[in-house]
Amino acid sequence: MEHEQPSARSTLSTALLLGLLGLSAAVVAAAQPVPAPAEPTVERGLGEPEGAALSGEELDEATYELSDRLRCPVCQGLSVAASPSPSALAMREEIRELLAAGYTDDQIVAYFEGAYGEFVRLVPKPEGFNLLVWIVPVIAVASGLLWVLLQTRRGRRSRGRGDESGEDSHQAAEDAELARYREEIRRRATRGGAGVP
Amino acid sequence: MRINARVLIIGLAVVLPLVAFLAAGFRFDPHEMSSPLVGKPAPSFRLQSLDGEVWELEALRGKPVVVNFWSTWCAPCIQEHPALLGASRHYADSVQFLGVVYQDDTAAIASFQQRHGSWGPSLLDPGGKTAIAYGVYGPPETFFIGPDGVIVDKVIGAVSGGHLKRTLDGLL
Repeated sequence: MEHEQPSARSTLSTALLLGLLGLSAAVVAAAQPVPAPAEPTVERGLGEPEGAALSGEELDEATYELSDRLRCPVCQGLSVAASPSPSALAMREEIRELLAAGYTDDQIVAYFEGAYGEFVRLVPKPEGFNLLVWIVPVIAVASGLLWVLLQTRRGRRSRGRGDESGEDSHQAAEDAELARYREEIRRRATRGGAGVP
Repeated sequence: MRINARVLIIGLAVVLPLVAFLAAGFRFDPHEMSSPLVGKPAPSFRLQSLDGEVWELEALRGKPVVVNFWSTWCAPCIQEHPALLGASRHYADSVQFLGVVYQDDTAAIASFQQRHGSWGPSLLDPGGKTAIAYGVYGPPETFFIGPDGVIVDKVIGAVSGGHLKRTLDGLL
């Protein structure tokens, strides 16, 4: 019995010690850096952000506005903001991330244009051949208005002349009609030998 | 029937440029969209493959690289698979072939490769950021990158064995 007491105590102490050791080992293991899965990275070639980093509502609005100016590459004439496609969604996320990092609209548009070409702009840049897109509609509308104006004026002028000489022209038309009838009767009379009244 | 000369001239003046414009449009193949990236350094990336290996484009400098954006749900990707498989075997020592998974899940990719074979590591592109950096419209799109890291050619749609051979022979 005398030997049993110290033996039980030492077993308990050993168990406690082992438990503590196990706990500390677990704590140390948790503190060790666990090799994280490789973070995928892509070089965008954008350089340093030239604007202020956006957040909250301001970020939401700026993301929508910029997404609305860019064309969804897999859609028919839809903006990145309007399209529900996964490609547009990825582009919206990219725009949001870049705006949150402080990149300006111009930097972001230049990045997308560098990858997709000018096609990605929903509104083409007003330069070179693109100027036709801006000029032709203006010329077409101006020409149409001018044509309508000229036609209206011409119509008004001829109506005015018609009012003044209405009687004369009516008489002239009657005379011409009568002359045609007389001529016809004369022709028939000559052919048939009948006398002319 | 009398034709009003003035109406005829105005009509032709309006219609002929339109017809000429549309006729010029028919001369272009929509698959031959030029990429602004051709002739420029390829956007570098560091992506993990399906089997956990990390691939860095920069580390492959010195040999031609073929980067193909593909997915299992795209029919032309399946169509071009034998051509890529053949080319990857033919140029096994001299060219690196990399596939970038475009909007697809890993299980589908693994299953496809098990059935049809693999022509190169399939890199995962979370968020599609690599596809955006490369201006990808939709799979498949193939980029030929020279040993100096510059993109020399881009093919939209299924790439043929002939095109692969011509371009890669030119790079070697």
